Amino acid sequence: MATELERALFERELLEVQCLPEARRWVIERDKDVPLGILSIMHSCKAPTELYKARIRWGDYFGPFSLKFLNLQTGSETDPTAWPVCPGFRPTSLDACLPITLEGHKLHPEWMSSPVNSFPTVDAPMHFALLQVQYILDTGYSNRGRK
Amino acid sequence: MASETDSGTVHEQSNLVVQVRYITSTKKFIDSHAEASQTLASVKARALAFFGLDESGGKTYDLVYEGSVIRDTNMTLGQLVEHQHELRFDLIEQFKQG
Repeated sequence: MATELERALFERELLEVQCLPEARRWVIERDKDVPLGILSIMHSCKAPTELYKARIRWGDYFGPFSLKFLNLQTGSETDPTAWPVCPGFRPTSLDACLPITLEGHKLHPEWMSSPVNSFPTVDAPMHFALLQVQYILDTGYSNRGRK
Repeated sequence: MASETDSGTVHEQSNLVVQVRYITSTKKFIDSHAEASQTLASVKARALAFFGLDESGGKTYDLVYEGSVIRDTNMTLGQLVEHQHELRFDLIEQFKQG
């Protein structure tokens, strides 16, 4: 359950991220199904015409976030071709096994207490999630996922 | 102060403005009087210190410039700069995939 503080910070950040230089490359909307969630259409600088719809959700706003890529047309969350192929992204498993994601930490509970793989302290969780996903797309993108 | 780019072009630079954004933080490391002879390793070290980070515990960080990870940190700011006066970097933690 999101706290008042988390909701307030989320609302503030939803406005603030639009001012980031990178926001010109994003189409961001609120995920109306959860209190702390966004949808963002993004692309890699390596393939500007290949668009991906990231769904980012938080349970604990200052902790790892859930990351899924949805089919742009249908909104399906079970389509491997909706996923970009990047380090740590596993389109056929429909998850991103990284120390920044909830899915990664569910698979690797030992990460939380690991000095190397623990989730960092973040001032602005939405900024962090969007910029980190963008960074992975820009530096690690190779292709679109396949079924 | 003169600086030279990879292409050999020499630019007159008195002071450069260096900004480093660490994407977990709302603060920025800013050096308004950076010298063109300063290496990127030095910029990174000062930015890590500013954000209270170090790589001794196993976490590693990269400087990113215009969407590309800086691999050669022996490069100087003068070699990186072209016509601009300001250089903006991101400091990114390298996460290991599971």
